[in-house]
Amino acid sequence: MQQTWEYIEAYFTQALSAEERKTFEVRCAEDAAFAKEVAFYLTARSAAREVLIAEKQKSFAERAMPQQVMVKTALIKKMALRKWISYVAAACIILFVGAYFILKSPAPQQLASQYVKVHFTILSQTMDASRDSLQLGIAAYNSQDYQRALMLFEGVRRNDAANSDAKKYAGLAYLQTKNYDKALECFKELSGMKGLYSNSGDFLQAVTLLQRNNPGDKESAKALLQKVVQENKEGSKQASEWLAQW
Amino acid sequence: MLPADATIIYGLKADYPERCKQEKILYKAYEYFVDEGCRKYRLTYEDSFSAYSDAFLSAVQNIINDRFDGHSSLKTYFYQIFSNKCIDLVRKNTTNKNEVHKAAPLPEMLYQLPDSARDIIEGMMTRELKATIKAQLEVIGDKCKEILLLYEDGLTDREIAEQLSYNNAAVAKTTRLRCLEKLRTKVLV
Repeated sequence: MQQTWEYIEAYFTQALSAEERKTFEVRCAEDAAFAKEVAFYLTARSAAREVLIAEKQKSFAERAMPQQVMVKTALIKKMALRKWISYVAAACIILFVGAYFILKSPAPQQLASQYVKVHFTILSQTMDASRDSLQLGIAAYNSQDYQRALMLFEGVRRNDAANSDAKKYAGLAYLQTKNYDKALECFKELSGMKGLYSNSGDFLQAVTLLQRNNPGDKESAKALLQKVVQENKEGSKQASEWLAQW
Repeated sequence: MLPADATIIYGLKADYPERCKQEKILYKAYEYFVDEGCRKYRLTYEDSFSAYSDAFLSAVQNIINDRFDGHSSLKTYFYQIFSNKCIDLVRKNTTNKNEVHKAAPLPEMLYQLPDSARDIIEGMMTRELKATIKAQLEVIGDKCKEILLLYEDGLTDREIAEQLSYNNAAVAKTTRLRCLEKLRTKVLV
């Protein structure tokens, strides 16, 4: 039986190969006894998590130790003065940095990095599909829990090759975790998809290359951005703005 | 990052007893989020409390695993996770109002399975099964309960071995899976 638990655990910790995962999934669907063990494993994990939360709440409910309260009060007093000093310092820094950036036009790498921060820190979520893996992935992504988001996006990407959103979101999560090679792999797949109403694959590849900034990446990014503008693909407006500042 | 944040983060990444101490400070410091959840998202106190606890565990796990980049304060980060958990609950309450009492809340691991397998497994994960498992966890023995909860708290088998003085991670893993089997025997047989 121990081997069964190890096997189930290996699946959920992503320790199985793609082929082994497929076999596991088929077995869940076709072997009722095995499915029952998987259901038990997941329910036991979920139950243990609830018991853990309850126990933590119980232990946290005790009064904070007086020593900690004193440390906290002292910290708050110290912080009041520090706060003002840091506000003034921050205002000065913002003025200098602002003036620097206004006077100097940013490099394409900076523009790309800024673009990712502004447009891809939060992904839009729908309100109608709470049990959908993509939506759960988006929720995890928006909570900056990129590993969990990747687990969910990769699950969809693996099981539904025609799902362009899964490729895009997985790529973005890799981009956020600075795993540029994997991000490029996802965006290349996206770019190769035919028949999409709108395809941001090439533009996102360019953004990734600019962020990676390896030798030759800047040139490849430029070529991709030019392609996006020429073919009027998604991101063409942004691409022409960047090319103008190149 | 605030100096107090740095102390908490440092403590959370230290050994388990220090982590537990810092967890307590963090948990108490932002407990007022629960009222915020009731007021802003119109959740019941129980739901808001559950969102807070869940967000707390996620935040701690993220910090320990270096997934908190320190670009915002701990409070902002924690609040963002809490806020997302509240939105999830609001969505669940509005879209599955009639189903909510039938099935147990699903662990996210389940979403790794493709739809066909997931539906089958999901059908077997009842509230009754979970209630029985929770009851049996209380009588399975302190050692077994402790090792299963430590694993759920995000400790690796190596860390469990250190915490519970086992020889190595392999021994901890074997013991943990034996405890799982013991639990299954009590519940399913």
